[in-house]
Amino acid sequence: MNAMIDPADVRSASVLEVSGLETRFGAVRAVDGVSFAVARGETLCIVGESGSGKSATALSVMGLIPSGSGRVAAGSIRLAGHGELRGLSDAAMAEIRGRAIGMVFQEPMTSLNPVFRVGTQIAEVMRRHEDISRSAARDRAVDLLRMVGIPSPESRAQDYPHQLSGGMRQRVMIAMAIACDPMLILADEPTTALDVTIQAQILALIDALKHRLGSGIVFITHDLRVVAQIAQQVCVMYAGVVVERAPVRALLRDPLHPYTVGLMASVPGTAPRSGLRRLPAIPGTVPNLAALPKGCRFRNRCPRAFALCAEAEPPLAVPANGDPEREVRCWLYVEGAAA
Amino acid sequence: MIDYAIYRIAVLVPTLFAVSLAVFLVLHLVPGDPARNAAGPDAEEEDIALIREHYGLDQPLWTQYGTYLVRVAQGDLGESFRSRRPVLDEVLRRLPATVELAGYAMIFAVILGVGMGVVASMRPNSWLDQIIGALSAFGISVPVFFLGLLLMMVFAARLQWLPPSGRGTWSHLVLPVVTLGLPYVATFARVARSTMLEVLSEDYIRTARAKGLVQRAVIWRHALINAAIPLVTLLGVYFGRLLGGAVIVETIFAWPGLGRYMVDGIIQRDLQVVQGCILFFATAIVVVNLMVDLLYSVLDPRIARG
Repeated sequence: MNAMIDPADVRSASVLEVSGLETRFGAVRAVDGVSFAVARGETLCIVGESGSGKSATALSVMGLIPSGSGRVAAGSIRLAGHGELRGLSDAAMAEIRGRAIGMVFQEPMTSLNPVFRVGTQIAEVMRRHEDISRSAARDRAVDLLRMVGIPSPESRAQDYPHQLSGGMRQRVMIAMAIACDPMLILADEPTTALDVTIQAQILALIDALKHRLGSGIVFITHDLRVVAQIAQQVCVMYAGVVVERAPVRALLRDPLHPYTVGLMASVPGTAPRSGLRRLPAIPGTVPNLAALPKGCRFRNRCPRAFALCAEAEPPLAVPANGDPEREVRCWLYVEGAAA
Repeated sequence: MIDYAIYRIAVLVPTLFAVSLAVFLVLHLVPGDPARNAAGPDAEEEDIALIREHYGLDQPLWTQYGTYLVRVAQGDLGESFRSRRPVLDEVLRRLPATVELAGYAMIFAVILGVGMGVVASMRPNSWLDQIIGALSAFGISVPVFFLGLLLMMVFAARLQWLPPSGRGTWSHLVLPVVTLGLPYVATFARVARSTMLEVLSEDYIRTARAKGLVQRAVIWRHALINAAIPLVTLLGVYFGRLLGGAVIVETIFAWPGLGRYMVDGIIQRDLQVVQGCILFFATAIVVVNLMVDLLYSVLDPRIARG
């Protein structure tokens, strides 16, 4: 915890509150009743495998689910000072995107427009949302490049994306996302495509910016080592639902859901008794979202599944006799359910 | 950039040399005696021999080509067997008419075609997209001479809204420009639609939306400039075909341009005229393609430094 923000304030001052979010692509419920909240100055990590619905969740918040293929079918997305976002017209959402919510994507190599100079692309956000002259926007773009740690920002601003490395491009993306001091930053696996050393730099940068800007951050990743470095709160997603939610230390110290346990065991160095041995992998694959089995979505991969798991889906609830700040979607932690 | 331009211009020289050789050989190897043709059906053998000597047609082929090349290099395309006037003067006199026709047809094709393609790409498979697709199929498949006669019949003969032929006011331009441009409207619409669909699925378009840009800015600024690169290539390729089409359109609408001059030259077997016109057309196509390549590097910064 940093000294600037009192955890008690953090709880009450949510920037983003998502509840019961359901996003469908045809018959597939990519996001199936997801709820979470992010406070100012807090980083919430959404963790899960590919196909767990993490990216679809972020795109739903942005209103960027491609209208031809999917839609936000139910739930509520509330942004501080803006109220309910679901149901807003695309034009109204466009006012919010880039201004109140900044987003950083996974693919730094392809997420910048190849035909415009990077300075121009950053300045464009401010030109769009603020009453600012072309030259003032350009100057601020240079300031932003400096802020995200790009050396000689004046000349880099004149570069085209192909002249920059992946790490530099991701810094440009971050500069673009924070250009209008957004209250919320969505980062969708921003370090996945980068080298490990660059990864660490980008994580440190995002963390530093959070302290500086006081924005809330939703950080999507599949990498628990990243979670350990950056998160305060963690949501673990599996097959479109949140299976576990907890403060980061509690989660890493004592994972409850068998899926979380499996995820942690498959990360080198985090599992207990790590010696010379094969890393365990979670057996099986994510179920087909178009034809989900009855009961718990994880049961056919779960080492601790029992009869009840095949019959009904467990609720996301505070574990019996457990930490009231945590929630887990597993029958093992429901009083009287376990055999 | 400058180096690249100089390099490209230098490469033009051997290209044009090859073109001139090809044109010369083809025209001199076709059967028929140009001198006999020039002299007319009732000419005496002596007169024909005189003409042959005057134009150097009695020399060996390679000598003729050498002389021809030297003259062309000096800007002399020879003189017409019929009118006895220098071919270059005649070409330059008719050039503005052809530039006007081809230029407007190209502008018409680009603006309408790209516009239609972009609109179609914004809502793929909508009714609007399907109508545009059907119109494109029509535009691509209908032959120019048929379209020209059809338009002339309807708008000039039947409705009498537009003059059927000749050059002068803007109303004279409408039918030839539409006739010449329509197939390219269709082609550009198709290519613009498919490249826009491809570009719109790129990650940087999602970024542009994430910045809060409105649809208009996303489509016409972020997407279209990227889609323009293949379109500009097409522009170069189709310019040549457009000039070919101009030959037909000028003949249909009695448009006093280069195309008709060349067709008259062909009918009258006026060797120097045909040779001069083809060389001129070929040069124009090569130069336009050079300009397209240079424009390419302006549009795409990745090529400029490559």
